[in-house]
Amino acid sequence: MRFLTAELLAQLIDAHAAALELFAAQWSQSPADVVQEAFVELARQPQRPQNVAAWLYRVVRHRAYDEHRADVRRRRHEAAAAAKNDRWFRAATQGQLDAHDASAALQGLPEKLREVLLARIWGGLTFEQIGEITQTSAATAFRRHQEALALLRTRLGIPCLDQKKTSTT
Amino acid sequence: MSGSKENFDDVNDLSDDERHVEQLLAALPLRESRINRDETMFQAGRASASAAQHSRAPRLRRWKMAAGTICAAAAGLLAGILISAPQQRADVLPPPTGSVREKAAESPLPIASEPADRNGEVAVGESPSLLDLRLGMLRRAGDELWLAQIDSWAPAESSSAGGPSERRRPIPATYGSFAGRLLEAEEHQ
Repeated sequence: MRFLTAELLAQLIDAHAAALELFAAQWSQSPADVVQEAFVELARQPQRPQNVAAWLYRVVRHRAYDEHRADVRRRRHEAAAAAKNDRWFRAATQGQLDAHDASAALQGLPEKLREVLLARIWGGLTFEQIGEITQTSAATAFRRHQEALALLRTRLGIPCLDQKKTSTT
Repeated sequence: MSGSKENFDDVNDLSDDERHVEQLLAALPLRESRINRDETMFQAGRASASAAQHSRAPRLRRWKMAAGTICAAAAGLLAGILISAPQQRADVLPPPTGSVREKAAESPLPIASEPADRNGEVAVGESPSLLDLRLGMLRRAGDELWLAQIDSWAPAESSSAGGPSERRRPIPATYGSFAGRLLEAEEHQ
């Protein structure tokens, strides 16, 4: 490996693999394969990308898109769509949101909003990086993120903080 | 994830409600990665090795092309030197020894006859430097071609033996005439 040592690769897998799989699962039926291919592609790079995480998200997005476009896999996607909802999160023991409901609400979001939200919350990317990946401006990415949060709050029935305070008092 | 938490701190434009929703979502535990870590490491190592090998091949090809270009340029230069070398070498050749007439007599080659009509000859030119150069080449060459050129002058001399007016006739500037002048000069000496 040129810049990518075995240790660095192991660290990257630990840090990003799960979130990348979630990101790829928006389009792909085999997100683990897509993420693995992205890591292999990273090992082929002669130089270290400026931001490895953003690079990985971009590659995963492209590959997952390509896979999604394939007719054969699209048929499989349709067949497995029903059983897909609870695949994104583990059942939360301490969180306030139900994993199944959250998965369903996220999957019900428009694709452009959902990819920004996933990259932002679980990928930890900045809006500039998300803008590069989605080929939009940072402002557009931020606006989509806000829109996605508003939709999720409505669909998941999350009360506003003010309402919460008044209800508790 | 730590990265997402850092980003939450950076964003001031989000309202408290939006941040709250973000934090609730971020608290959802992701499913564990299903990628085969060992296989990924192996595939990555193999891909890296093959990529390094592929990157070396074009470098070697570039070196070969550069070496080929240099060799071709050197060969062209050498050929140019070799082509231009005989003219330079003619300058350093020793002048032919012995009488030109003796050489003409000894030559086994048939003697070419010059056309009777001298007006049809091609004039060498009247430039002194060019004429000198031609004369010098004739003086130094001494080969059969040179002797043949002498013969082209010889009939003119024999025909001019009939009368003094024809003998003094100006001879056009041909190889044969230059050879004739050379012979005359040798005879005077």
